[in-house]
Amino acid sequence: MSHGTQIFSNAWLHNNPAWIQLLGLCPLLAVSTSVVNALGLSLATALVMVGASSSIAMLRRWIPDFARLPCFVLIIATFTTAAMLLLQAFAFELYLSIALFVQIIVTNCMILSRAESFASRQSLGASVIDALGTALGFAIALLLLGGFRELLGSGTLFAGMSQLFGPSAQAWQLDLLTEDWQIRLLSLPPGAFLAAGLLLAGANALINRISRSSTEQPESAGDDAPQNQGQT
Amino acid sequence: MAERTNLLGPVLVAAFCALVLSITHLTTAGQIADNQRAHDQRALRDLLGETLPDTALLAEAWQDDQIVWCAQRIVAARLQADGYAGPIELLLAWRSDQREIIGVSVVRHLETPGIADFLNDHQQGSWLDEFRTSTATGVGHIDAVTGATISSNAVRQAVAQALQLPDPANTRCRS
Repeated sequence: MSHGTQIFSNAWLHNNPAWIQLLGLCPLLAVSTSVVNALGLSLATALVMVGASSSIAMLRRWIPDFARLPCFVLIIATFTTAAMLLLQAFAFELYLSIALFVQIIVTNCMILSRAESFASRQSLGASVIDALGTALGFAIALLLLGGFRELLGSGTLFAGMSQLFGPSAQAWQLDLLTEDWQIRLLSLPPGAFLAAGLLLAGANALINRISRSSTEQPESAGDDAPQNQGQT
Repeated sequence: MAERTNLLGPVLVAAFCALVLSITHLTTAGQIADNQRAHDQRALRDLLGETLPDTALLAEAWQDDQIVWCAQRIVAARLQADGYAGPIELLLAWRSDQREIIGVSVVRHLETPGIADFLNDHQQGSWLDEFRTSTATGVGHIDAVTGATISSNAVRQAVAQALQLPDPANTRCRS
């Protein structure tokens, strides 16, 4: 595995921000009511993530140690504002429904932690790969939750995709469950916690199974058990 | 010398951020203004839809001050209520001769998601629907929403105040 793919798979899988590091849970819980909301926030987060990480990697020689955090926060806030402006310009209806959570990307520890622990120490290329991987990992978690909650909470999938992809996307909506089969609780805030708990349990069970099967094969087992890194 | 290099860094970072922001702002500002205007007009069309047969008139009659539309003894105004987390922007349409509300619609707000979701709900039987066909005294009888008293009272107050405005129909409306 080359260095680049190693960084990428570490970022999205082994150190997944959502179910390993448990970072960025506030937007994860709040926005995952539907696939379109999840996708919108994923895109905004990815933009901020990549923009901030690459800028920090580029400017890292000029960022003095004592002013490190203010500089990071300033850069992250800049890209969050830019993401908000772009969202308002190209997906106004979607912006109205997720505006608040786009604003608080600034305080998303996931981005700050990547800035602090990766982008400020690595080259531009590596930082972009890491940022893309982290954003992908976050997007997967968000979309899984969004899809799960939309399907069971309101019985549809991909409703309102026209907010992001224009009127032609109206036909994408799938009405899968009738009202008798919907669990209203899942579209409400408590349902977010339940669904996120299930996602975490599922991910952990999967990781445990994989690591157990890899200890049975001695050559791939041992020192690189990267899934434990995030818990420190 | 050491101090100079120390300060140069943050200044460079700030300049970089300013550059990124100005470029995004300049490229998106026009589009955002168009989107906002289209959104407001759509809200007004939804509000007047039943009472106004000729909605094509709407776009050209749109005015960019408090009174956004007035014709055929119907007045629509843009109001601002002082909500819990910031201004709540409303559109209110009423019949100027009877001072009877046609409808209230929330265009923009910053209230807590979840708790203030009733502000986005314009369907029949919703809280905002209670304003329909009521007069200034009727507005006084609408109950505030539990858990969102500040938001709902702000909306009620703004609506009640707007109904006290002098009738604009006499001065500057088309008939």
